[in-house]
Amino acid sequence: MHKFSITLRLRLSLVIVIGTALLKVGTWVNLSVYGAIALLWALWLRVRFRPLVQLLGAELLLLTLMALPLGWERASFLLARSLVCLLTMNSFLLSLPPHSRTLALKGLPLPAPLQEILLLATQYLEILLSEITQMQRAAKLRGLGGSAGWLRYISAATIGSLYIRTLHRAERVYSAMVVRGYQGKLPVDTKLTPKETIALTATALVATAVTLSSY
Amino acid sequence: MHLPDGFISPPVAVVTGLASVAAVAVSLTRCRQAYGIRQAPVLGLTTAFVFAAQMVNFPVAGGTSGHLLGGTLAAVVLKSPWAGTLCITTVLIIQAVLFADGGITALGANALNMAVIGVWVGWGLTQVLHRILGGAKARLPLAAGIAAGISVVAAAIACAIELVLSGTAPANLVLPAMSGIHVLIGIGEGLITGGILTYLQKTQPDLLLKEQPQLEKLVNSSVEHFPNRRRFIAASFCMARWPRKSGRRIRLYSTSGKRTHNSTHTICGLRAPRVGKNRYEHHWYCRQRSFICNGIWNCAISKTEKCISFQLPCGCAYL
Repeated sequence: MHKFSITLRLRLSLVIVIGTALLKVGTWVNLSVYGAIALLWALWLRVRFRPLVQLLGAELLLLTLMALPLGWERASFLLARSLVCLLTMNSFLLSLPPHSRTLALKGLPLPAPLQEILLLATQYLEILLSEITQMQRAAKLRGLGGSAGWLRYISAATIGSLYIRTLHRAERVYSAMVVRGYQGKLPVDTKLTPKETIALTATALVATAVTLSSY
Repeated sequence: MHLPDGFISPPVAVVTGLASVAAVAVSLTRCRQAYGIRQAPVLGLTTAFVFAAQMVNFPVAGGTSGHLLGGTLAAVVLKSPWAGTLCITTVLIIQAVLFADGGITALGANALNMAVIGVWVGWGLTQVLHRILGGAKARLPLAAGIAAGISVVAAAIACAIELVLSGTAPANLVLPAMSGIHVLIGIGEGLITGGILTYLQKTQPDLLLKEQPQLEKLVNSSVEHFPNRRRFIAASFCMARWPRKSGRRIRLYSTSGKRTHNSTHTICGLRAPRVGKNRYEHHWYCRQRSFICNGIWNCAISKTEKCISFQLPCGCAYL
């Protein structure tokens, strides 16, 4: 679908987000440049409009509650800046194919042991979610529900049993992974091609220039 | 408490980022000894678990809601604040990168608040309160619950200070607002943490127990009796009380008596769920240099709960 690899898309998104977040407050021209870049980025990634708006709406609502007490002028800039960051990251996330989150995390410049925990955690999330689904189904079949449903989900027995069930399953999964030769690293190549490196460097330079010019 | 992008100033982002990087670097070094290949699933799973637990919100007040932070819980379950720091940092990275929850540039600040201050205040207070409460195992959930609640407030105050230092909000506005709401969230955190630990203590006591020193000595003495087994001798020890529902943890030791988690020669681990009367299925794996052997071994247990010895194909002996 996309010409760029997941690693490059993630790194480009990070460059745009970091550049935007570091802009000086009140520099609307620079922010509009980043806004245009973020919009182009979303268009280029062919992100579906509806889920993107839903995500942005929910997140902006929370941010508005946080920012409005700071005064209209300041809050509007903070919110616009956050909107550009959220637009960039959410565009990247929505462009990810299913089950490729692990691949995206592999592209992060992190130390190997931390990456191993990241990879295992994302793998176990799938297990955890399937266990939650099973427990939800079991609860429904037993007629447990109603308006205080949240109480059941934060009850110690539910969370504790979820942990133990998932731990047992996770150990079996991990044993299977080790049997298949897993040694803490996924056999995925996350190195950038020369063209991709040039694209990333160029974007980083542009972002640095735009951000520095705001000061 | 997840600070978004653009809400903290560049100097605060840099300073908190550097502090968090230093904390994570030290944690990685400390955890490398304790968390080898055997413990990696526990660490990974706890991370995923805390991540999932943070998604469940409970109503607080005035239409707001809170969620578990899980720093104290992770540190107590993993028996290490270093591992707790890594666990929460990983959760924050996943949230920031894959779910746009918490900013990329605020990642250092968020990690400092929740993975360093949250975890260490929670862990430190748990240790102190546990001793004050008498040090009994049954008191651990209570101590951890109180500590978890206080740690949330400490993390929230740190977050408020960062917002003040960034010039985002005045102190008289943000400090009472953050600490006030997080006192209520802290109560929820404390109740959930204490409850989960009570549940884990009852159903899976080996998960929260530390190995007893006298048993370590027993292992080391048994190792000394068999110094000439092929390359390594793996010695097991019986837990003081056999867990009701699950198997016991068994460590393998080299001839020197040191734990072999990160030995250059072998990394071994065993888990023994019960499969019948006096029979325990041993899921084991053992790595010896580049050679990895895995499998399931049925082992008979005598009436005195001592394992009958057997030899693993890789050369490790199980006594």
